Amino acid sequence: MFDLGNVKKWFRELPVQGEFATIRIVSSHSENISVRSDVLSPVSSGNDSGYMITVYSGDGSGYAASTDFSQDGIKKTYGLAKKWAEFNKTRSVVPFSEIEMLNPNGKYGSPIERRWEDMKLGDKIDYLKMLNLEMNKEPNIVDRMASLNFIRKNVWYITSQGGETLHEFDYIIPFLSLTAAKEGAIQRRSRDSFAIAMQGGIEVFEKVGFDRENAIRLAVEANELLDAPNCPEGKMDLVLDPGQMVLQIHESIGHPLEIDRILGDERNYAGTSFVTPDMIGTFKYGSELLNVTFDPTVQGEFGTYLFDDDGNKAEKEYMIEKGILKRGLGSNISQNRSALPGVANSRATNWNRPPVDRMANLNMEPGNSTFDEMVASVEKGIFMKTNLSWSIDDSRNKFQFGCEWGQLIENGKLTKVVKNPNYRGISRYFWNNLKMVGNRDTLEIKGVPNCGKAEPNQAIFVGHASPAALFAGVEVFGGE
Amino acid sequence: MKNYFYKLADHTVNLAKNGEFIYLNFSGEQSDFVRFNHARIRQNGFVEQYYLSISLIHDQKQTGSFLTLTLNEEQDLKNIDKAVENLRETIKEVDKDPYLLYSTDVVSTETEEESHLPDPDEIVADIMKEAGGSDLVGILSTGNIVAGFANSAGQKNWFEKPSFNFDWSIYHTTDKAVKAGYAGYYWNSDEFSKKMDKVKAELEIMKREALTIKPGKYRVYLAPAALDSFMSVLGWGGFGLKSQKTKNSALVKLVENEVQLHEKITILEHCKDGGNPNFNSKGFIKPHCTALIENGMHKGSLISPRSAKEYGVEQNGANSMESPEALEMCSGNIESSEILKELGTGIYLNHVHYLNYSERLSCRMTGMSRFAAFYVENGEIIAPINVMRFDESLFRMLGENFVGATAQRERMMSTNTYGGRQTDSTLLPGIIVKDFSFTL
Repeated sequence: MFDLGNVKKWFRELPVQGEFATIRIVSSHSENISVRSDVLSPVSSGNDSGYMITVYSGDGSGYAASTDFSQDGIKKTYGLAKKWAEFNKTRSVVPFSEIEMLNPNGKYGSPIERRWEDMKLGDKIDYLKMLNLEMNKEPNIVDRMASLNFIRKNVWYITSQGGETLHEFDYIIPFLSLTAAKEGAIQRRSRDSFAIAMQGGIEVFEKVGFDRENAIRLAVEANELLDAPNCPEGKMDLVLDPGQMVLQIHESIGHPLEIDRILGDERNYAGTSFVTPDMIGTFKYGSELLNVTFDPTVQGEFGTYLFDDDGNKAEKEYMIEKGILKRGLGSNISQNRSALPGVANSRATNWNRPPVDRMANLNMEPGNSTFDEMVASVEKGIFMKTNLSWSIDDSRNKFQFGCEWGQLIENGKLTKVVKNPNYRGISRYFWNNLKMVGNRDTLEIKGVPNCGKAEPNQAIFVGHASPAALFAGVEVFGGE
Repeated sequence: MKNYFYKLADHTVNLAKNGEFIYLNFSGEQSDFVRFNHARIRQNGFVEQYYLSISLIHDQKQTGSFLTLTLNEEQDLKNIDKAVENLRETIKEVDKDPYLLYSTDVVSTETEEESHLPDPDEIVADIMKEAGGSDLVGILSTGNIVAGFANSAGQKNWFEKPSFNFDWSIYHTTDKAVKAGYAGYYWNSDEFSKKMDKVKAELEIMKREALTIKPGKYRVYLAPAALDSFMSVLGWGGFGLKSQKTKNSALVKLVENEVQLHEKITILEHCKDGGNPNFNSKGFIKPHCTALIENGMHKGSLISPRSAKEYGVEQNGANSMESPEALEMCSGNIESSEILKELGTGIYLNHVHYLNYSERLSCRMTGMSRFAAFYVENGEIIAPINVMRFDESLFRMLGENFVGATAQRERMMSTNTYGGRQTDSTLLPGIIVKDFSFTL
């Protein structure tokens, strides 16, 4: 470990003159417990501590990251960051001298009702074994997995001009999944794939349905899918549950609104965006029912924080209001470069990666319809839940998504279960076919731990809350 | 760094007592990253990171822990002692592990190469000079990568190989661009310049008015980088024994002989060139070559020590994810210089984007065209195409619809830097496929 007091002191003693410098210290402890088909995998844990110093000098900026917390280490790391900042003073695409650097102060802690440590390791293992056993009470189950990943992460952000913030996060990432096979048919069911992560303690298990009831249900549903016909092909109405809405919002609203994508930073890797700067403020992204917020203030949601990693204060903002695009996902640096309104979303995954524009909590606000009302309004359609597959073009326009579970809607009623349900569409038109939005009773808070982006690559934690929703006239198809 | 790791290793493995066994995995890098946009620098910096992972085995039980190293010996030893004590506490609470398997035959190896890399600012100067006024975007990663293994039996393994990887695109407009890569151990300005010339030549074609093709079936050429994307998705458990046995692999039908690929399809895991560590995390030495698909038939699987124990077979040095690290596909007999002629009329795909399974059981993948995709007519490139979605089964692509592969293959070093710079690579030809489905 390191002596935080000394690190702060040594950072403040650095010869920062006519420059702005920051140190972001990240110290995390993680634990992973996994039971697969009743067998405990090796329990593992980890302690990861390091820091990144960033120097802004004129129009240049540079960073350096290290695990050497000694005074010499901090001096050396500062020197390396400064060297890179000097080097790109005349080569930078960002005019850093024009950007006001921030000096935030504040402290955040994840809301915790029952701490991770309050449940003994043996009890956690027993809980995962219980879930494994419950998943095995149905026939044809060939693979079962229940796991828990816990991360306690403290992040200090200190600036050379007096800013200092501390975030103390506790993240819980449960995972529950099974595979069933019979006579050449193979189907998978999971508790919303990887999307049931939250901040908090042991109480998260209950909040996200990481429980016996869902373990049993998944096994029953997998067997129903084994016997089900393939999803039909054709244009029809589509009801998506919140678990699939997570993916729909993430890929076809979240990523295209990232200002660094709009500015071209991601064109070599994650891609660009069909959204252009002139569309912000006027573009009709969706029907009047579409209201999407960037809200890093939701208690317990996976991407909640007080300040982003460049010191911007996190606040709730409407990205899309009554269908109209209001702003982009970009922090102070991107806002300055683009002259577009943005949000506090400059985020890094760890001490060894620099922050870029990311989603945090990107939520769809609930509407007025009950789930039953949405189904009742459909003459010919399909209900899909739990994401299985996702693919979208580099402009975030042409997408194709697949789900684990499909159920036909005929004359206002849920009828036959169908397997291998997929649908495809084009983002810029798809959301305009949003016909009904579920009310607060249908809303679920979800989180995903694996949003990939940036060069060097970063997989970051993102929250999405969404109600169920109904879309008109979607191209749907099944397997072979 | 090797000596430092060996010193820590000697200390740590000797902490084992009363029948305990310890093995260690070490990984680290010193990397300069320079990110470009519009041929200028977007972000640049230096990252130095070293991780030590300790596994403690006792009474058929196993637990593991990792920690960051500070390179302050006193501090690191203190942290290691504490980690081992914590592992001893944890191991009391875990079950005996029926699938526990680790190397006890001592095979120590060292793969060590001195750095031949220039200073990163020299490489950046080359890049900016060659980019000229073009709209270049990409990432340069350069510096040393190290990995190590040690255990209580006295085995020590070391891998050290400084490398660079420049992955870039040049844009004409919006989504019309040409992508390329240059990676290796010696930076050669002339070689880079030639690669840049090729990109610029292809970019001229991208300036032609783009065509929008209709959904339907087309004859296509998948260049090595495009085929690499398909292999990358297949690598998510496709070749692993565990996923094959638990029906999660997309190759289940091939493994169970329900499907057969074209007789000219042979796919190998070929680790002999030394591009990545020759040992796995349990201390087993990787074989030079493991045939996965031979003459269109399933031949073998990637088998981790854990799967080997579970299914009662021999392990073959695979990592715990059973994903390939040095995948090769055998070449064919189409000369690369003749590829347009062989394609005739169809679509030339240099790269594809964002692949995923649309139906795993039939090994069907969907994805997008991206970067320099051309419509070709009678052996001549006519124009770039606007992005199109495809949805096609790899069983058909490498089976009944496989036309042929190029005689020349391309080695592609991974550009993956999640958590750290990866050393995986592939060696693949380009392939021609008929009746390839574009859908949207």
